[in-house]
Amino acid sequence: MSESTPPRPSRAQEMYRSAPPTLREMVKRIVGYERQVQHMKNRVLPGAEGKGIHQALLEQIRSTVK
Amino acid sequence: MKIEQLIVENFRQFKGRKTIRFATAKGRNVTVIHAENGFGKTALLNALLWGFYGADGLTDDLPKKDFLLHESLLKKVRGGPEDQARVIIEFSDADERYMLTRTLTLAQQRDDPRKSELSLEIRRDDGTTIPIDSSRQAQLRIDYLMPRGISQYLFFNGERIDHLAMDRSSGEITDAIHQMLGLQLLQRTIDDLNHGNVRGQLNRELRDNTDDETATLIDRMEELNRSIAELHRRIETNKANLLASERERKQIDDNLEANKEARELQQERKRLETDISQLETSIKEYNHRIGALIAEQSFALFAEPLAVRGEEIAERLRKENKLPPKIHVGFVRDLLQNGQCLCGCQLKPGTAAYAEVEKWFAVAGDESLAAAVSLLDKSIGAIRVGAGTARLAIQGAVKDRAALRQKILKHQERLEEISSKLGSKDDDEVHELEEKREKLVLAHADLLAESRLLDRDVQEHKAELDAKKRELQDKQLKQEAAAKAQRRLKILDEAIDLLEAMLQAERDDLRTELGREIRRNFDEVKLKADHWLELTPEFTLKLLKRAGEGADEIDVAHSTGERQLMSLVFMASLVALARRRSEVPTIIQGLNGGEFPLIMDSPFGQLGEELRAGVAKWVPTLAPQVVVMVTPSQYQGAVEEELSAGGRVGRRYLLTYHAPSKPEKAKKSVLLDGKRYDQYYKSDVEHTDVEAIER
Repeated sequence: MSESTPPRPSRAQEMYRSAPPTLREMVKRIVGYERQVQHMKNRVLPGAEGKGIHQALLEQIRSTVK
Repeated sequence: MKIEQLIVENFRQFKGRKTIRFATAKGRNVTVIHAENGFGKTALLNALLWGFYGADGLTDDLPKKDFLLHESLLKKVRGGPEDQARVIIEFSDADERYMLTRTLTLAQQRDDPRKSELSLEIRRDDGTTIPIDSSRQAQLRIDYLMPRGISQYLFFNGERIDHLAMDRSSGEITDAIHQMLGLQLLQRTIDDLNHGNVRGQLNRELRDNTDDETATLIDRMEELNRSIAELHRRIETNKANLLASERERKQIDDNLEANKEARELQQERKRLETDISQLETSIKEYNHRIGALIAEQSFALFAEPLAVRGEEIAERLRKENKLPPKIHVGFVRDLLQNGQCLCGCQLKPGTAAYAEVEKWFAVAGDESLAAAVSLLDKSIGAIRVGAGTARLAIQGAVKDRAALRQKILKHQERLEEISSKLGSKDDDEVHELEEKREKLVLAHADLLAESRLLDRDVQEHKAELDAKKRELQDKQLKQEAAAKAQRRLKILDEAIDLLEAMLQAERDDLRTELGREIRRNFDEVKLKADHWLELTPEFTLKLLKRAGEGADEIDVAHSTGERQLMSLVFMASLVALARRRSEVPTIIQGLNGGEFPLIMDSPFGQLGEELRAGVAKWVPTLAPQVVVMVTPSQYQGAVEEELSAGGRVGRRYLLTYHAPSKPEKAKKSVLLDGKRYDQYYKSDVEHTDVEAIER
């Protein structure tokens, strides 16, 4: 049933790929942070001295546009 | 996720500790659990659900939900810590292995049976274990690995799913699908980027370094952001209330169906409501079709009056003998210019002969007019044919749509009759249930209306916010700090735009992908050659059949068995889609689906012999891991042959029943794959045992 030709990139993947590299990198990191905390009630990044998700996102934006 | 082992201890009818190891190997991924009705299949399914989700996970059909401990423990006056029900589940997900333990002591059951204890630990390959801090954190981790919303599609009683894929609770279904495919991660990221601590902070940094006009603009944007966040909160609450009301109504419907006095009317109501839901979907399709017809063909209708006018003019010219022209203007002009008539007479200006030929201008026709009229004739013909076709098609669709509306009205009239009949029944329970139901239906309609208003408000606020954002981006800010904050807000907006576009694309593509998966799976079972399944925009299923050569499809009335099969196909397709997505190398880690097991109690229940064979052949391919609980009578024959032939069964168990007397319908022993096994044992204490069947 599931054995078939490898799937083509989705439209979302194509959108991501065609975004400017700086934006792409920032989005990738931001979603990465979100993934680390998505199952937690208090969304604090593991191993980041209690840094909350919002602070992490803010710092990521600041470091992208210095 | 793969479930490796389940240990049940004093849970429901399982007395003492019983262990089941599940087949997980690729190619031998099916575990079959044989059990007569009443011997513990439902309890086993619920042991898994209780283990993962506690009391919230228990299925509706489990009786006496507040009594989870084996009844032999209930007689104790004061229970010790060892008097408890316990479920231990070992499972793996991606590269990690987990062990969860859920317990409920006798004292807890007496106090509040919903309050069980959960512990979870991650087990590393090197033998070390990492415990998750608290019961709450453990539950959050489990909900993340396998959200509760999707559990009804993974763990189910096959005999009770016949309406699942046809239900109207599409909000619940789409939420579950989004959870299953990991789309909520994107939504959460967007929400966090818009949060006051992120966007709000950047706005404040800009505001502190800019002029008054820009500050006012930012203040308004902040205000709009706060309003949008508040509206979203209200939308979420509304959504939760809608879900709760849908569940409550479903529960009432089940209770009415269980009541002898109300059963027949309730079943009719259920059929009518399903029918209305499908008719409403068809009306939406007609709306799309009519819209497309108007967009593509309405020019002919609008141009028709002009064409008619053109036709009238041409007709008048013909009557006046101007069309077709007897002599062309160009010919008369040539004669006069050449100075000689066809008869050889000289044509000099001022002579009688010249004046005679010149008179012909009055009756001569223009060549280009003649050509234009000929073209006009053709165009008028085309427009009139086009208008006729468009009119017929649109009128036909409008008529069909009206017929559907009429059908809905008739159904609604009948529903009102049913409601009034049930409401006036002498039976107190029916009366009370019906009264509650009516209130719920009204409250539900109010909630839906409120939802629409909230959605509209969000759209209006967003439109204003977008305009303000553009205004802010276009501002030329002089101060360095302000310009930097402006650039940061710009990239934040770009990130949100990208994520929103990706999320929308994923949502839009989802139905097509799921529809494709459903068709593929349905073909595997081959219910009937000329039938096919279609996924509606509301994520419900329609069974269709071609009415004849060139004719439209018709919605086929289906039997319980067919509906069960449709639901099976729906769930299998969801799992397959999630699995397929988990195999896609993703660009953003986390934006993917996952592998999920399918645990099915009596999946062959309502199916005829032929369908059973098809389903048995297809079942092992449904998911990376499949658990089938089946009665001997459902198993013997086609199912036994197909499952044995496929060689996909990795483990088998038999649930044996121990009690003072044997249930009337059950046999003492059972024949499985040519070998006889005892399944009933006399015992003073009623309980169920688990016996492994050697391959």
